[in-house]
Amino acid sequence: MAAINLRGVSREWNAVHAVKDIDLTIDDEEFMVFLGPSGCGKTTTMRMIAGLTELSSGGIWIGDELVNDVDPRDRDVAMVFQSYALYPNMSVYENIRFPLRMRGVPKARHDALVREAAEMVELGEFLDRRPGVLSGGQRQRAALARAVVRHPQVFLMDEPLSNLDAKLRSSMRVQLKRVQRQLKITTVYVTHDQIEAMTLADRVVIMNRGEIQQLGTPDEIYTNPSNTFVAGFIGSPPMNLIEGSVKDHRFESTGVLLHGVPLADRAGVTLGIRPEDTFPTEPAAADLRGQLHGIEPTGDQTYLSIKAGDSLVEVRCDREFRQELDSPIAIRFDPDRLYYFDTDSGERLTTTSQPIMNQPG
Amino acid sequence: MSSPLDEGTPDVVETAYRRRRRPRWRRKLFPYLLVAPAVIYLLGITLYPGIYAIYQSFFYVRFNDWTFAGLGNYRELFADRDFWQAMWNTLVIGGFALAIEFVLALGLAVLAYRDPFIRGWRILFLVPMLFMPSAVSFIWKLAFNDARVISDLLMGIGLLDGPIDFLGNVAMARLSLIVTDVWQWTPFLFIIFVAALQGQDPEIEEAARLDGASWARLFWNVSLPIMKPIIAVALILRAIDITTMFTSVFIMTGGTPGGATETISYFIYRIGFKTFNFGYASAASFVMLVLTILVAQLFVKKFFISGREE
Amino acid sequence: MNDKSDAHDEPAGSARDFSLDEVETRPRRRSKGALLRTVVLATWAVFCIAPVLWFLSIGLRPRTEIITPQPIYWPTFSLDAWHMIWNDWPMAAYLRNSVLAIIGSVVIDLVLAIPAAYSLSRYTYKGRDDIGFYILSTRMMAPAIVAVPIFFLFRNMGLLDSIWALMLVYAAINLSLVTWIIRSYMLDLPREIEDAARTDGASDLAILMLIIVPMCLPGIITAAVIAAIFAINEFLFTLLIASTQGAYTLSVALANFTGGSDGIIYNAIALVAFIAFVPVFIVVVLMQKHLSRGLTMGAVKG
Repeated sequence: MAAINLRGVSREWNAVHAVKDIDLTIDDEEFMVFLGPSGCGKTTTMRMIAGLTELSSGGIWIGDELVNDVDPRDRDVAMVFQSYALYPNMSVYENIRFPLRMRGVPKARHDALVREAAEMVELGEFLDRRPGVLSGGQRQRAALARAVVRHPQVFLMDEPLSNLDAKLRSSMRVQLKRVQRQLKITTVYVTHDQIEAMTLADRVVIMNRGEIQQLGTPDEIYTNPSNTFVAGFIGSPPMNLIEGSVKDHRFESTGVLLHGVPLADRAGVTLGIRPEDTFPTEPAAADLRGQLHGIEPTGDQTYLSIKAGDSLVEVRCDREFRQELDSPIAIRFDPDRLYYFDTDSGERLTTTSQPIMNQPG
Repeated sequence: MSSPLDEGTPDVVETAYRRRRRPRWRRKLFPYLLVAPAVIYLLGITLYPGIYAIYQSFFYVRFNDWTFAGLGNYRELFADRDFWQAMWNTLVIGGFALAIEFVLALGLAVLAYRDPFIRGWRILFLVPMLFMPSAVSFIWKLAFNDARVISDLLMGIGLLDGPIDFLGNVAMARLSLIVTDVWQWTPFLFIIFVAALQGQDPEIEEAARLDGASWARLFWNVSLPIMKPIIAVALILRAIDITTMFTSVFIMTGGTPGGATETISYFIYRIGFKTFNFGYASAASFVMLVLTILVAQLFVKKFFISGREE
Repeated sequence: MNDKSDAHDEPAGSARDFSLDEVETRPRRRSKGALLRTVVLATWAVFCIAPVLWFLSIGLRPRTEIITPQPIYWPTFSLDAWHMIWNDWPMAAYLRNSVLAIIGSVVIDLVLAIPAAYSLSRYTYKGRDDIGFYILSTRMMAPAIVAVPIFFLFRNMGLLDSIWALMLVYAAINLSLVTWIIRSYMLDLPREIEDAARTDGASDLAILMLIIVPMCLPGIITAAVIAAIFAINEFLFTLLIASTQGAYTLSVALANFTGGSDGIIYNAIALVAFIAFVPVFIVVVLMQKHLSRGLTMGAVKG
């Protein structure tokens, strides 16, 4: 069980700067999620930890050892792939056993270890089947068992649940987390799905264009986004970002007027407010006035799309809300949940509003 | 809950885990090592004989007696009418055969590929290709020359008045070789073209049909462009093999009449192994080698690149 | 009864009566195109098979009925040739030589080609394309070009007229083909499997032997079969190298069937041709699917 340290890690290839100067510490036994859109560098970074991709510069330590020059097979990491990557010519049993063979574990121990790993993922009955006849969920569990069987220091998982359907995904999420907790293995998990990140992670690294945007617990990321990218990426539906300016402590944008803004006068301010922190209200108390552009009842909630100037603002309200399209509507924002960002750089301008849960200390 | 996990398993697994630092240069070397045996073997069979042949071509060789000749063999070669005749023969016979095979195979493939029964038929069409070329040469030698079956059939239909001597007539002799090659190797092009056509996305064809494309237009504007790279590959492979035509010449005509069917391969064989003029044969071999390299540079690079787009 | 039922009544003023009678009475019209197609294909099929059947009949008739003033199309059945090739000629030896030379050359090819194909398909390194190009170009090598020097090479090594020489030559001729076919199949393998094996601790060699090769088996078999067929067919080198009966293979033995002054013994030749044909036919039927991919060395996926 080991911590992973990255310092100055970069990857350049053919003039594409996939990963730029990453500094990161993943604590021992931590479940760390790399989150970001396609091409942000999260998979590349993980592959460098695995040793499958070479570093252009920087250093990676697993435990106390600098592993830059160490082959993947000599690093004590196990990997679970998006496509499972099971060996089709071997039975599930042989698949799980493979790492033990390759690592020279004494033959006598193989059977017990394989069966134990299979039990952990509830695949005991399928040991002599070939991967070809298994369902997607079963294959993923087999891949997990193969990773688990040798008790590695590090787990690396590359979007392992992406190929599963939604229902299966949630049950597998639970199983993954359970296994990790039980075995106490440092885990790096790559995904573009923010729900997975929020539910699985101890800490999340959000990446974009090869750089770390923010590092923190799911709660921190959600309630305290450090820039517009993070703010807009986390949360479904995403946070509304309204561009405007501040004058005399008033935020102004088309259809929007807010008082009591704790900022000096400046142009280029982006206001952030989550849909669940907005409420339809009387015109007199409104922060936002606009036209009802769209209305989407989803059963348990209703989502409104409000047109104000050129932008659309998402509002979440209760399921009974109905109003005619294109009619005027007034919205107020929860004053404790406002975020202000610099429009050009995307950086957050104010300190946080109240977090959802109490912070320790 | 006690499990193998608790019973000192971590030791077992961890001690088995070897930390080893492999030198970087070894990793870099590995792919070269993998490919080396094959390359060395091929060098042995091409480079060494190639150098030997070039060397030998500068000598007049009579059995074990080697006299230095400088460029003498080459001068003789380029002045040799038989040599140029052989080049010409190869071109004519090979060219016609290739053209006929191509047209036939493409036409048949277009007709056949949509047919669901093609699976069963296909094996029938493949049969000629499955015989040994020497056997095929004997089949047609018998049919054209010795048993005069072809003449007989043509007379039966009324196309001929009397039997043709397929060996006595330049055009007829060449024709017999062409027919032999076409019979045996059209299937080669045929299955490749069928596979290429069947590999097309059926939705493209359906979309074109719905758009009102006639069958011919469909073929010309849709199927053919898609097939171009494959046609190129198949033709190149076949062309290369055709220029090395030897077996049928050896068995059927021996170069007659008057050297009109002597291909370049047969020429080299005759010079080297019938008149035992090895130096001269080596010179001819070298000239062919140069030509081959030129062709390889031109066409194989194309194939290589298209093959690499995977 | 409410308003909705009106929709199911026939609209007022409809003159057309849609009934199934109309469907059944219309005759089935076969398109002219399909007929033409069948005729053309059938003609070609006949052209392919007729010579074969005729040649078979040559093999099963007495020698006297082969070369006659008027060709005989309905001969008397005779197994003369069959007895002749086994009794009067070393048919068993020819067969044995062919089989040994072929198996040997295919084994050599696989041993050399599999690592080479893996290297060319799965690694990037300087010179890889040049090496690949070189290997590919040996496919272009006309046998006649190297015929003379190879003859001398084997003569100097004392290998003339031995099966070993044939094995080495066939292997050399087919190596390029085998390598390229296997490479084509290896390129299709998902990269993640190799990554998985690497993190599982497998050495490169273990990955090749335990994972890549089993997954490529169809490709390897295709390559082996095509190489075997080309080895059976090989004529020029065999002719030059195998000067006595000691190393004659089926292909060249055919040219041997002369009765001196009697001329060519065609019925024997025909039977030998079929002896070679039958196994090839069976194998090709089994692996038809892969044939076009093999023959174009991977260019066609058909």
